[in-house]
Order: sequence, then structure tokens, then C-alpha cells
Amino acid sequence: MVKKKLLPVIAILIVVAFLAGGCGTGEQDQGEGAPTETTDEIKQLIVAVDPDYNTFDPGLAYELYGMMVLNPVYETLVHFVDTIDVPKYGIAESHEVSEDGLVYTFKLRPGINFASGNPLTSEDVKWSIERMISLDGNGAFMAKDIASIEAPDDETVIITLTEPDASFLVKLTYNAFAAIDSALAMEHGASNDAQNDTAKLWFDNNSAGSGPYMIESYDPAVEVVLVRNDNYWGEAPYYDRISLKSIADPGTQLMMLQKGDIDIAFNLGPEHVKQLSGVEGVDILSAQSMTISFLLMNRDPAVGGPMANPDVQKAVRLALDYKEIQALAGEGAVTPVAPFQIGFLGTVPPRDPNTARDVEAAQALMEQAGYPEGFSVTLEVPTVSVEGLDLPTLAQKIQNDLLDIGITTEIVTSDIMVALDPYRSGQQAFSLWYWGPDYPDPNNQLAFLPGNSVGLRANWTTEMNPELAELGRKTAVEVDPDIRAQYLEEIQMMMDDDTAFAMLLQFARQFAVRDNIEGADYIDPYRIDLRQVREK
Amino acid sequence: MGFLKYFLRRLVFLVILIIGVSLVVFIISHSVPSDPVLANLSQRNIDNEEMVEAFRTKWGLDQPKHIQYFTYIGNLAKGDMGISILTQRPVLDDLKRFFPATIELAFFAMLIAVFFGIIFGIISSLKRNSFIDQVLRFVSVIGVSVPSFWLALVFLLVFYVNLGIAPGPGRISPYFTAPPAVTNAFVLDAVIAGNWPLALNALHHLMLPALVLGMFSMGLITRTTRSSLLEVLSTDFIRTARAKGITEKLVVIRHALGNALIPVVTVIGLAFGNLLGGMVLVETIFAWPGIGQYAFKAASTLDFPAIIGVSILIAVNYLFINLLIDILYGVLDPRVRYK
Repeated sequence: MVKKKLLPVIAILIVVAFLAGGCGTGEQDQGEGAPTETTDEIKQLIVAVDPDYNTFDPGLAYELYGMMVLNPVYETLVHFVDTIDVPKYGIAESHEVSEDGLVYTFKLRPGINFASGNPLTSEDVKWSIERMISLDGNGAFMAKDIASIEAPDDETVIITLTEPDASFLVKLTYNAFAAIDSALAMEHGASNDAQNDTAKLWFDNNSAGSGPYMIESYDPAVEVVLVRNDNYWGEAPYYDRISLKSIADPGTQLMMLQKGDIDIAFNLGPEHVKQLSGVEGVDILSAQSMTISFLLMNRDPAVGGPMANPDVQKAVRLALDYKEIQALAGEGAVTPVAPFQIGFLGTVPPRDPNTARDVEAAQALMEQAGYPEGFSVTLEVPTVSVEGLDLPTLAQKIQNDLLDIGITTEIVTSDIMVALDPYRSGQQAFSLWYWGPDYPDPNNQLAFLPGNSVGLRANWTTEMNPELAELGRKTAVEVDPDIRAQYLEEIQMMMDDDTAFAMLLQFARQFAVRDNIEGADYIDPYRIDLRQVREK
Repeated sequence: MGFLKYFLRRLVFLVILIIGVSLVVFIISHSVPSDPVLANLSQRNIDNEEMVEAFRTKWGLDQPKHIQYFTYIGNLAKGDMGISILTQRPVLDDLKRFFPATIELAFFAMLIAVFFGIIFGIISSLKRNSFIDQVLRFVSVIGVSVPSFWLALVFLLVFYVNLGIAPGPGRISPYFTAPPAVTNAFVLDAVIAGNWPLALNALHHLMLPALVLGMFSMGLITRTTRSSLLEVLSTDFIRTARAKGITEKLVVIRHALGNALIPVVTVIGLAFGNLLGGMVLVETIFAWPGIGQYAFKAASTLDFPAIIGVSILIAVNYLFINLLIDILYGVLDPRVRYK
């Protein structure tokens, strides 16, 4: 009898052991020597983010929040400080560009050491870029025009391009071009030949940079922890420890900030920010984001139908109530004239939302186009939220505005994964999208020109506006900033008159910080430059 | 011997289940009208044919579907669940990382649900149609009706923000770091490490999300216990026990409850299996790095290896929980025979 009862009990224990024993991991998730408890004596910054990073290998990382983490850990030849108009020197102290725009010669600052104590030399810069190119991650496209990299002496780096690239200095600000301590990295399996490189996991939990902070640990979906680099060559970092906590829900971020459990809540939407208005102990920071939202109107009559008519497209641009559209996005949102963000070189002032709408002129254009009574059209919208604004909500506002010129819009939503394919292949007649530049340079935005990648999503071909297409080509390779700015202004004026797109918004990014924090201003591409953050 | 054969037969069934689940999930996930390339490459790179081809080759997406599946099954037989396209880590490592957080939360949620659910169910049945019965039935209806994500936000607002008696989201407070990983269940790992303040902190952080998740299961358990106990209490053998002069307390606890628990155990098993599948909304609100969030991200990005990996994990969970329940039937009711 006892045996009979014992067998099921043993079986229960086996099953429970299975459920429990499947847990645990052989990996050591934390850096060595991690403390198990912090104290009040440690200066700690806690930032809540909804991150998209999956790796901190600087040769592979290419996510929005990856730069926030990697910027204080690794350093580049040039980087952005406070503004994004012109890169400032980082580990380089000077540079020259050949007359043909193909050869960039950088002189490194003397006396820079990595966190390990190893000296930072031009060989490290060369090795790091070669490694990034070999790994061929998402960010490697920024190096596609690099013909060669030379390190003739310890302090000189020479990068030769295959063709001039006006945005090359901006690209160099990205972590893809960060200087890695090659000696330390190679000890842990890194190689500038991707076939032999096994260091990704090591980079996720450690770092080999020269920045003011080092990666101490990374627990996916929980937090990444940075600690001060006591060997930093520049101004000593303020914090001993920075924790970036993965908190996806903005409501949760809001509550934690109110309670003082975090110092920065980075992913608040407009509605959450409103709740914090006037709350003691909290400051709201606002800055222009680089993300834009736009309407795509297909130029191919077989796809776009009536929407393909350039007069109709212009009528749509005139019919939109930009003031109310900006109100939906929250304070600080603006409407650019063309797909060139405010803050980029050569961008003209945004539309005046009080005067940009002209329904009468729009109706006249509809008549001219042959649609005095209007028509019906489907507006395709991905179900995604951009900077806290749901695109379907924005679509409803557009639907309402277009009724004033006789266009009846049926909104059709779909998951972004499903919507991307017809968008990319130019099969959408009329759709609402968003765009974030790969790097803060107007060359990114030339993709919207006829014959370029985004232009072709609206079937806007080079033949439809060859002058504009040619101006875009000239702009892409013009290294003189004044001439380039002039070209960009011309492009925007031309697109104000003729384009397959209607710019809706350049979003503002609003987030909240404890009021004892300073230096946390928003700056693309780092989101927040954690090097600059300190207590007042 | 009968039980041993039964147990072994269930283990064999496990293999068939894994193959079946992987095949069905593979077919469904590949039927979605989208492309994992679009989810995992940047907007610029999806226009680069070379990058797209390289991506497809790297992840075997250029192979015919049946080759992809057989390659996956072949690797699975060797214990390799593939590499997650999104995280670029072995799927098995990801599951080992995220599943323990879910187990820990589900365990405590069930502890709360079972403890209060059975007690409320007993009280409710013994005080049938009384005021307390109405109150407890109302509470159980609230538990099963109210969306858990709403409850999560309300609980956080009330207990964390306003009253300050509950800790914030996350598995531990910001001023702690995680214990050395043994099981990845923080309470257990902290105890193993002898770090009692951390263990208590981790336990404290469990309470609110466990309470939220336990509410639904508690409601089910309360109602099932009540109805089952009422049925058992009206049987002849209970009448006989009362006639013999046994106290009501002993009648309920020793004679009635054991028989009434069989359907309750079924409900507990199903509820536990459901919790082990992860609750993405509650995990998101409480910043709990569990399998729900992982599964959601995998589904959103068409991360095929991760999708199949999570599906197999959930299926195996249910199978083992059902096995556990079947074993418990035998413990509760000696008349049960395993064939």
C-alpha cells in the first residue's frame, strides 16, 4: 500500500523538478565583481526606457536606444555635442578633406587611453572599422563607400572613399565607427574578420571603449548598467552608476517618476506629459525629434487612381488642418515644408499652421484636376504609435479634413508587418507613414526624391521630375556646406510645388526628469547624451 | 507497474506532441502575409537586395519550406532550438532566461489563488445564500471579469503611488542588483546566495503582480470549489457521516473536501498552465521580463525559431501539468487506476 502511494509522489517530484530544473542558465549575466546592493554613497542615475537594443557590440548595434548606451562607452572620431548641425571632434583633434572629397585625414588626440589602460591608437580605429565592415550588420551600409583605411602612424587615420559623400562626417558619429580596444577585444574572441569573430556575447556584457562609462552588465528586458571609467582621459564622469531600466509601459514610467524611483522617464506620450504639468519635483523637457509623418500619394494612375493626379495631391496638401494635426501630436510638433527635418543643414522654416490651410484653393485644384465633386479613396494606415501618437487617430483627422474638398476616405488599418510589403513595393494608392532618418543628415532625406527609394514607393520616377532628381544627385556629393544648403533649399521649394507626399508632422519628443537633474536635453542620435547628465 | 506504464506512455506522447506543435506553428507562422526581412532590417536596408539576400541565406529563409522545417526538427532532436532572429541568441538560452521569471510569478499567483480560492469556496458553500456568500461570489465574478491589465494599473496607482505600501514595478528595487543566477527565480536565488534582504525585496515585488494575476484564477477556483463542495455535501455518505455524529468541521475537511477537490485540481492545472504561457500586458505594466513579453516580440517580428520555441515550451508545460494533475487525482482518490 505504501509503495503504491510512493510511486505517484516520486513522479510528482520528477515533474516538479523538470519544471524547476529547466530554469537557470550557464551564462554569467553580470560583469565580474558586480555588487549585490548599492548604497546612498553611490551616485546613481536611473533612466526608464522602452528599448529596442539587442546587442552592445558596437560593430553590430544599430538600434535607436543602442546609441544612448554606447555613446558614453565608446568614442568616435567626431560626435555631436548639444546640437546636430555640425559634428565636433571626439577622439580626433583635427581633420582635412582632399579637394576631390575622397580622402579624409584625421589626427587623433594624443594621450587617450582605453578603460583597460591600453593606449588608443590609429590601429585601433582602423581595426574597429574593418571589423564593423566585415560583420556586415545593419549599420555597415554607412561604410559602403569606404575604399581603404590606413594608419601610417599612431595618431593618423586616413579614410579614402570611392565617391564623395557630403554626409560622411555625420556617419562617423555613429557607434559603428567607434574605436574599440582591439587588444582587449581580441582576447575575448573579436576579429576584424567576421568568420573568426566570436565576441558578440562578450560585448553584450562588457565593453572595450575609451568613454567615461563602461558596461557592467546587461540583463535583456531588465536593465543595462554602466559604471564610471576611472581611467577616462576627459572630464570625470559625474555618476558612479547609470542604470537604464527596460520599462515598456509609459503609464508605469509615469508612476515610477512620480514616486522618485526613477530619474528620467523617456517614453511618455502627450497624454502622460499633460498629467505631469505642474507636478512638483518634475521637469518636462521638449525637443524636436527627427521622426516625421507623411501621406503617400501614388503617382501611378493604375495604382493611385484619382489620387495620382499632381493637382489632386497639391489639393490634399492645401486641405489639411496642420494646426489641429500638430495639436494631436503635442506641444512642439511642427510641419516641415518638405521631408527635411528642422535642425538639418539647409532646412527652410516649417509651415505656418495658421495659414497653411487654404480650402478654396484646394477646391479649385480639384476642379482643375477634373474632380469637382470629389471621389472616394482608401487610406491605408499601419497600426503603430509614433512618438506617442497612434497613426489611426491621425488618419481620422485627415479623413475629416479631406471631406471639405469632397474626398471621402475609408481608413483601412493593418499590422505594420503586413503593411510594409505593399508600401515598399509601391502598391499603396494612399497611405499614412512615418520615417526616422538613419543619421541626422539631409542626405538621408534625398530618398524621398523622384527615382529614389521612398519616391519609388509612390511610383514617383525620375522622368516625372528630372530637374529635381538631378538636384538631389548634386546635393548628395557636394561637400561645401554653403552650396549644399543652397541646393537643399531649392529642393524644398520645388517639392512644395510638386511632390507625391504631404508632410504632416515633425514630432516633438517630450519626456520628464526629476527637477534636480540637468544636462538631459534630447539630442539625436543619442536620445540623451548621458555624458552630460548630472545633478544640479 | 500500471502507473509506471502510464507514466512512460505519457512521456512518449510528449515527443509526438512536440512534433505536432512545431509543425502546426511552423505552418501558421509561415502563412502570415508578411516577411521577417521587413521586421529585422532597417527601412533603408530592405531596399538593398544584397542585404535582403544575405539575411535570407543567414537564417535559412531561402530554403524551401519543408527543408526549413526538417532542418529545424533535426536540430531540435539534438537539443538545439535555433538562434532567435531578433535577439541573435540561442532560443533555448532566451527561454531559460525569461521562463523562470514567469514560473516564479505564476507560482506565487497560484499560491494566492489556491489559498484564497479554496477558503472562499468552502465558506461560500457552507454559508450558502447568506450575505457572505453573495459577497464572495461577487468578488469571484470581479476576479474573472475585470481585465487584468486594468487591474494592474489600478493596483499600482492605489498601492504603489498613492498608499506607498507596495513596491514599484520590476523584480527587485532599483538599489539592488540581481542575485547570482542559479535558477533565475530571484527569491530562490537570493536565498541560495544567503542574501535575505534581497530575497525579501524580491518577494515583496512579487506580491502585487501575483495578486493581479491570481485574481482571475481565484475567481474560478472559488466558484468551482463552491459548486463541487455543495454537490459532495448533498451525497449519501456525507449524510451518513453526519448521522454518525461526526462534527461538521471533520465532515467537511476529512470527508467532503477531498472528493470536492478533484474538479478544483483540474481548474488549478488549467489556470497554472495559462499563467505559465505568460501574460504580456501584466508583464509590460509591471516591467516583468517574462515569457509573455518575449513571445509577443517574437510574434511581432516573425522570429520563427523563437515562435516555435515558445509554442513548444507552452505545450510541454501543459502536458506536464496535466500529468501532475492526473497523478494528483490518484492521490486524492485511491479508486483511480492508471492504465
